[in-house]
Amino acid sequence: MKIIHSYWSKPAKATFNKNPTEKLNGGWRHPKYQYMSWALSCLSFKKYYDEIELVTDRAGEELLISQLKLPYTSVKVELDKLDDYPKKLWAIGKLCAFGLQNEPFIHVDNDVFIWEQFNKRIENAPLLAQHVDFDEGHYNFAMEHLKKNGIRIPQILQRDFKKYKRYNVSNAGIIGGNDIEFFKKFSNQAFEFIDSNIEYVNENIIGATYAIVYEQYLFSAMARSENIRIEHFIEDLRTENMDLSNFIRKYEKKKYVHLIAGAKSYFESCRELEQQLILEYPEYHTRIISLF
Amino acid sequence: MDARHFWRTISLGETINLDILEILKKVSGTNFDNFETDLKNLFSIVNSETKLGQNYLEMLCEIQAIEMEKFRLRDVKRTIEKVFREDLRLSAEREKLLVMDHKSLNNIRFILNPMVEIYESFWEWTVKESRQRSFNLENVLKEGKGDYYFLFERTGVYDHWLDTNVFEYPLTQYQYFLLQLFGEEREIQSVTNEFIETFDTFTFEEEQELLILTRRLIKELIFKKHIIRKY
Repeated sequence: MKIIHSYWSKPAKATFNKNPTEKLNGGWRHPKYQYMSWALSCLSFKKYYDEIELVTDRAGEELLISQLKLPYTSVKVELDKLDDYPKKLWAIGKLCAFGLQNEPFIHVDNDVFIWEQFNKRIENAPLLAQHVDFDEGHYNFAMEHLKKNGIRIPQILQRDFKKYKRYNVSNAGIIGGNDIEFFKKFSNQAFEFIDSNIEYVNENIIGATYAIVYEQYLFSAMARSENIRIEHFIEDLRTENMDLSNFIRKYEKKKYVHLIAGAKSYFESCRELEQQLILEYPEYHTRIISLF
Repeated sequence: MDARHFWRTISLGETINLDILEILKKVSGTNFDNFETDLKNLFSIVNSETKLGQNYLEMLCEIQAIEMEKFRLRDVKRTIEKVFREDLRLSAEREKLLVMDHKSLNNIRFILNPMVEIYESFWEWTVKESRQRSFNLENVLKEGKGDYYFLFERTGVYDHWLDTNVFEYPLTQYQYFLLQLFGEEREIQSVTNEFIETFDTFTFEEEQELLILTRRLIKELIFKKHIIRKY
């Protein structure tokens, strides 16, 4: 199974933003932690998977390959073509990466770390994601926010909500599967959604709020419309007891950490991330620190 | 003097219509040359300047003492680097401890990390990082007096945002009690037994559930390095 990281560098180059969910500068407490996260994520997946691909732009290649020397097995420099898009649309690099794939894959966010391989239920799934987001409030807010700001919601999302009366959205901390054709369709449909509303992406739009709709909600609704089941790595977040961002998970049953949402701005998360990197891959830590 | 270290004292003042910074400026001048000393005297200054209810005075006194303590604990750069190296050593040791089964862990002696200080307070001033952005003093006032617990940890990381290397962390009463039990070096088994004995359990199932919870709490303390192995 191929692992994918994607990195569109334009949003990260924006000035440091105090809102941790707005991923300008990646949402990190300090840029060095963003680099450490790239390193630990890449290296932790490389330990268990033979193939890990980076889809990025020229600046991303310069950072992650030339400077940090991360051991990706392949690099696709394809995301410079996104530079005419506003940096608020920071998740579109991922959507572009999906459309480029011709074999089964798992795309992982750069703040996801593992200490064991995924099981066959996940690796053999037609579609997979991290977990079902039970907090419907985010999506209620998102849809209202977008409509209020003139964004036209695609019919597929309107039909989905009318039918199910809830959002039932899969979190894309990890996302992928064996159904490549679905991902090509998803990538195309997501860009259609974004392109048809591009004039409305202004200072009023909250990028993170838009992202959960064009990325996660659209993915989930499209899977339902095609009757494709999504396998979730965490089958029930409530019963599997899980603060996903707690590094104690390294010593638990599912050895998986995701510094989800605001966690990447927390002192505790960043401190733990740094220590894990030093302990497991000290030469990469040294290299990152030398950049600051 | 960076007033951000006393944001809760200042915020409490604002909530009760008391401009703490103005009061201190009057006393110590606009450069806050004697900020620390004058903040320590804040209680009596406020009392003489304005009549506040006893509750507010107590709150002001308590949060001022807490923020002053946290400020006092900050380390200089050289010490922070030393703490960083020691913290790394403890993290490496933790790797071995957390893969041990309970039987092996039970006979190992642990002690409260000397970088950690634990405290009690009457109001809930300290919240988890995930709640800090929504921290609201009105809620603290609304909740009223109670028993709250927290710790300060001197870490090996200087945080530019907060201008400190001291991390604060809220505790449950159970975590606080366990940390107190490790005030002197103890074996895990001994602490587990003493902790469990404080609860009334009526069935074997309840006992087992309590044992599992206790082990989980201790595992978390080991993970956070709030307790460390004593050789």
